[in-house]
Amino acid sequence: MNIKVALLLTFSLFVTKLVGQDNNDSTKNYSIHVGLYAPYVVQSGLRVGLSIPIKNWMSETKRQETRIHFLDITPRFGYFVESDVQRNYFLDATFEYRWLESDRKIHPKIGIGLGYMLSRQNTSGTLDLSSGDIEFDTRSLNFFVPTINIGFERNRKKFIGYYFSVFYGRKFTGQEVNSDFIGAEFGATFNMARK
Amino acid sequence: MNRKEFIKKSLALGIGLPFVNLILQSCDDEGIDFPVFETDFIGKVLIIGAGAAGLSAGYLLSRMGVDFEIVEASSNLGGRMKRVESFADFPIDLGAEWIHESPSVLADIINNPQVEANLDFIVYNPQEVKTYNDGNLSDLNISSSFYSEYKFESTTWFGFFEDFIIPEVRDRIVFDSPITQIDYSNDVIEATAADESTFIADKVLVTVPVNILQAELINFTPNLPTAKTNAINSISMGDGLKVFIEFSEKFYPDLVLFGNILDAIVGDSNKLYYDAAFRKTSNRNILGLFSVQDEASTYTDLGSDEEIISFVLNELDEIFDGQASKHYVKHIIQNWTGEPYIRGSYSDSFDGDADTIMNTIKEPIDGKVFFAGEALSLENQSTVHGACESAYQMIETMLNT
Repeated sequence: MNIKVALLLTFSLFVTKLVGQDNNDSTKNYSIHVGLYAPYVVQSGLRVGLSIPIKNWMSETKRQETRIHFLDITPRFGYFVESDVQRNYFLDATFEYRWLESDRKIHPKIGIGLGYMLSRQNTSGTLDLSSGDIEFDTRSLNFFVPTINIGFERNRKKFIGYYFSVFYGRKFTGQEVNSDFIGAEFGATFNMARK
Repeated sequence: MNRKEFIKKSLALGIGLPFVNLILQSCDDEGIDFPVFETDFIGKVLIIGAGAAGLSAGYLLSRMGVDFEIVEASSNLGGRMKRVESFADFPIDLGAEWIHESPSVLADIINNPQVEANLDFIVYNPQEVKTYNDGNLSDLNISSSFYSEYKFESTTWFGFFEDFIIPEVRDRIVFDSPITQIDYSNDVIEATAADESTFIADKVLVTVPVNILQAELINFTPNLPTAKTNAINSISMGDGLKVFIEFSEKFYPDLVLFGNILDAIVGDSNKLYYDAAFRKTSNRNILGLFSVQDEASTYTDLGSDEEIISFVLNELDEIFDGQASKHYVKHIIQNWTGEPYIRGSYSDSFDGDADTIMNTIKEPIDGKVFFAGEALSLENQSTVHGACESAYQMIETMLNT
């Protein structure tokens, strides 16, 4: 577990360092993301992250509009559950690209992420027939989870914004069979100016 | 709409949004209500059928001190709950097997704070899942993250009833008495069995499978109201078959579904092969075939058990490159369609509004004739706990009528 977390943090720092070297813009904002997180539809939870701007630049479209491009890295922590079946702790970092025309409020974004997930899964249990109380037996599974993400986000000019994204990935583990990882996230952004 | 239907429709509509979970909580597992009420009813209740509904109806009447008798057509009790203990190193459910709701529903069924017993169960969420379509096996392991139910670890549905329900009703059961006639034209109801023996009661609760009613194996005098007959005939209950095969090696995944991936996820799962020993304490390789409705007809139409097992092994050989025949040890077949007093699996679909149809059937006739069973549980249709719920509701209605 510790090795995987270290790898994840190293990955985050590496990307931040690498892409952020020729950053030349002072309008960048940190943004805290707080989202409702729903892998597989039937699981639900919360995810909190900090979006760290690492690069932005401008270009001109064919219609001579100004387009602003952003690269961010967003380390996040998530917790989601499937009631009576599993609890999951998810630490990941997403490398994101988003872009917008200057007069637009919403901009699309795409990203790739790498994460570590600790899943505490109920495998069996004992029911007290007099009270209906249940005690579960659980096991821990460790997953390495690369993902791709696509979604949109409210322009970060205001303090509070919002975002929505869907993701697809793969859960890799040596303890069980590997499986797909899909879901959606909807949340609020709290944007803070960085000087 | 129950939880299962909601998830299915949500997936089909592609509304995999975070908000869905909030809505799902409103139709989440809620158990069943064991009725608590007082009655001044003095008389006798006749229960037709000793399946889950009939046995639980008797259990409630016993708890309330009401006189009752259960008349069973066959030589066995349990209906579509059936167990075999000698086939493997764990008891196998030849009929109802899964607990489709939180296991706490078992405590709801017996509703006895004085019972000093614990019950072990497994969380049934198969990890290695494949779907077979057009000659190819595809991974569907993703389903382990959203499909989950429960099973008994060291007992069965039948064993659960045997331990906690049947002791309350066993001495009130009359076996080998298929009822062919129910005369409710007088104040006292008279039910006649095939051997001409009669049973007298003040009220009758009919809990036989819907296929038995549709086949008119029981005649009512006077005839059932047309609306009720039409409602009974608008429920579909197809064929049912379970097969368990022991193999010398485990060459199969935890679960095999059929059809393309979308079908496998949002389809009805009327046919599946599954590792029956999944998370059980077992050293044996036992593969189960669960097949109901039209998918089961493929097997039940074959006729003999020899033809069925031959067909199943050929099918498995095709899926697993000949490994089934190579590692085959023995098998057991439960053909529910061939059971003369069952004639199928369980209620499946309704030709019309399910709520209206169920309520029409559940409407008491002259305060004397009542119906209950798995087909009549709106929220828990086709389940054992749904049968119990239906029976409890109808007994409460009966004793308050």
